[in-house]
Amino acid sequence: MSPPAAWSQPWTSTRPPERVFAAVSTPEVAQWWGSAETYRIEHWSMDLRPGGEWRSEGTTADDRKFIVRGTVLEVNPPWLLVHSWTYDWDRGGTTTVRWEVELLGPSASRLTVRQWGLGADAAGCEGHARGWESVLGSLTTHLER
Amino acid sequence: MSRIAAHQDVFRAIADPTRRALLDRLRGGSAPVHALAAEFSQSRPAISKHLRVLRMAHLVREQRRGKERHYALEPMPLQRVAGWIEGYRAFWLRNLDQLKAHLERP
Repeated sequence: MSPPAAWSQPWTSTRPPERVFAAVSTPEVAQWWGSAETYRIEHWSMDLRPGGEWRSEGTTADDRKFIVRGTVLEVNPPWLLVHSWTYDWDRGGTTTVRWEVELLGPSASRLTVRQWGLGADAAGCEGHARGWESVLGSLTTHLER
Repeated sequence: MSRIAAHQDVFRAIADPTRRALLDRLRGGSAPVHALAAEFSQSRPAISKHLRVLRMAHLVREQRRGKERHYALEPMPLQRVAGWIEGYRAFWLRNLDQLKAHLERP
């Protein structure tokens, strides 16, 4: 797997894996995702099996409607969810998001989220041919030197 | 999130490993084309072509010194792309902070 173009810091919780997985894979997402300053989700659904559709609709802070959607690619509750993420801004590009939940101890979990494919559409053929994710990964390293 | 289209030329430019290596080399200081070409296994025309792609993306600037063409790094476009990437990282961090607050509310 090539390095992701954007990824989270390791995130841990005192809640068990099943609780964490439910919070990221059911309409409960609408309760914590976004904020009054950015946008609010008004409708969220996910058909939690390979090929299932997911959809998130809402309103931004400046009153524009948005839709993000995708397809579930892999799922193994409560440990793994992989889905595409297509957004209706920035040329409607498609990325892949991978959520991995691990058990750390009695009632403690770690969640790692990774996203691949940012900017690939803008890079065109060169981006796909050359491994776009590794390009952005090495750019990040290059800039942090 | 900022528009990907604004960075398109930069993305295409840095999608090539030789061009990234040229940018790395120019971080150490500007250089004439013949010196740059000497440091790479590719032919001089191939290096010139790569430098032209970098120049069109405003990642490097060309300066004529007599008969020689020198190239120098222009840091702003890469910094803007870095800012765009950082936007996605911040996006995830912010939302995961909110997930934690939601799950661990007393």
